[in-house]
Amino acid sequence: MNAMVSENSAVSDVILDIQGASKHFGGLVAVNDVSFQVGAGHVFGLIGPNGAGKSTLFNLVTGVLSPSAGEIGFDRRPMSRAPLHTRSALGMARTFQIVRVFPGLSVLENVMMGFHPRLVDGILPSLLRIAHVLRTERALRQRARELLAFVGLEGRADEPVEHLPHGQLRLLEIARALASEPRLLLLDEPAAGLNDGETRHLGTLIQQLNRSGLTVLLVEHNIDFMMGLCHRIAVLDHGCKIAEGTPREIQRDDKVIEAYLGRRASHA
Amino acid sequence: MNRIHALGTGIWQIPLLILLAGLVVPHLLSSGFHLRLASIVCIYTILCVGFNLLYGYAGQISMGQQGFFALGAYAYALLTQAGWPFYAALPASLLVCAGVTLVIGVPLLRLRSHYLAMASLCFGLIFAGVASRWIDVTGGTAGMMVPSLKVAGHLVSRTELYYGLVVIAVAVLLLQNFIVGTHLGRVLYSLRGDETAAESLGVNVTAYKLRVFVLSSVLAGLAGVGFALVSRQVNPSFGEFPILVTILTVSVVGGLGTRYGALLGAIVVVLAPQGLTAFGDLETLLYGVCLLLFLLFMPHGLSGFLRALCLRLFRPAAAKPAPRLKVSP
Ligand SMILES: Nc1ncnc2c1ncn2[C@@H]1O[C@H](COP(=O)(O)OP(=O)(O)O)[C@@H](O)[C@H]1O
Ligand SMILES: [Mg+2]
Repeated sequence: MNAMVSENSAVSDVILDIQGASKHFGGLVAVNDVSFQVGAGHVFGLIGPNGAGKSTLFNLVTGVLSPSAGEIGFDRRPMSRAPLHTRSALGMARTFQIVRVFPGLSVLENVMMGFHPRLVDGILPSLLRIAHVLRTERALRQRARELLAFVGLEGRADEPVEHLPHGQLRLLEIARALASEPRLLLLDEPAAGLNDGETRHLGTLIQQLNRSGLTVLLVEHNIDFMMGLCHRIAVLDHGCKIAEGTPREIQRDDKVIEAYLGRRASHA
Repeated sequence: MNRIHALGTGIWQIPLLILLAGLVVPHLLSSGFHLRLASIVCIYTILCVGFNLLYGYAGQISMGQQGFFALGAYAYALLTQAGWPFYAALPASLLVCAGVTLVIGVPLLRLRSHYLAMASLCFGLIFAGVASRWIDVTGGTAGMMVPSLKVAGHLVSRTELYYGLVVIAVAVLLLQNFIVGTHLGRVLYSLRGDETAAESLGVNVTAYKLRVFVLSSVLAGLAGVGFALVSRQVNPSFGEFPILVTILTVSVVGGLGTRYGALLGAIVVVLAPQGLTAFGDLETLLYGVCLLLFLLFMPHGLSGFLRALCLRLFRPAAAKPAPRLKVSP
């Protein structure tokens, strides 16, 4: 372990390695030969104007889409062929740009879905370990309550999930993602649709998680939100990566100013 | 109402009461006919718990449960005819059901749910056709006799058979309680919702659909064997539409996605026609009207109705929606 760290002493240990990833939808090139690396323990931001290809790239990383070309490595393993349902067991967890929860289950039970990769899988294996399954059930409820308390939803644990307003569903998705004890947390536009107070709360949560050692890949077009939060940022425009660096470097980059900040400034 | 968390109570207490009640029943009955009705309640419970797990919880529609019911019955009849003893013929029949389900399910379950509904419907039709036409093997429309059950040289009486069915039905209810009361229940629920979300959380959606499909067919086959033993025969009507209609009626009347809906529905569906015979020609009409009223006024079936009633009577506070808590961001 120590040898590995000293080998890469220039960069921190790489947890996510994207090499020449491309995605075509028919004639449209949504992501065009993008490469970057996310160091373990970092908050890495992905920004770009609407339609730049952020969500598509995000879906390549999470496995919802498979790349047309290129390779995505997680923890030094090639991932582009790993089925979607195997990713969470490897230590990836995500939230969705448009929240996806399970109606019919309570808030608490939605969080408990996140435990799936760590539990006995299948009906027969569960039956063979009845005592164990019944015993863990109670511990899981307790753990899920703690996760809800962490994101600030402890008071709503037993309500139907349909009762939560948008901002709280976001927090629920984060709690659910944390339930799998990921090493890489992927958030697709987590601040979209949140008010200022909720956005600040979200920023604090992400910082807290990062301080406890979690790596975060964050997609967002709220640039002010990103500047204070990210260690590094990559900028996408029309599917291509046009810049990468620290928030300061990005803010000073001419191409970024033209493609993104400039455009936004002219709107203001 | 039909939420798992709303039903997250004990797993074995109510089944234990049901077991005791089921064991007392024969002492209250006066005729063999009534014993047969009680046995059929058990059989429908087993059959409909399978359908409830598949459709009521996991949201996967199968229109071929009657086919698996008949498949179990015929497999058992044929194996018994070939000289297999009960303890070998029963598990073998269930394995046949599981095997056929895998053959149908593996290529189909990657597709959307309504393909499963169509394919299972086709299986049901094909099975009923084969059963009535392949006369050399199945006995055609006349069917086949199933000899009385013998276990270790002892000829099992109808009352003893009933006791056996009660124990199996209660075991099946326990199995269902275990599934819906633990993480498996949440996973089944996730299948009816967002598949991408479920997969991203690590659920192998295709595998779980297949598992619950196999489980429901095995339970249908188990019920079929029970029906063959109670009827002492099998015939093509086992696999025909009236059985499917019964499954749907039991499920709707009892309450889909509830723990005891299958049992409650089975009791009503078996007993109601007995009460209605007094009305002579009007029987079918009244039966239809009652069903319609159920659909209109008890969308969650008897289970949902009883639950709401209990909440209202014993926990007035719980019936009201919980006050909305304000959580500061
Ligand atoms: N499933 C799809 N089929 C066809 N085109 C798509 C699909 N998903 C995204 N696109 C297109 O790819 C481009 C990038 O989209 P997206 O990744 O959602 O951008 P962003 O998240 O940066 O706003 C857009 O032009 C969009 O219309
Ligand atoms: Mg997007």
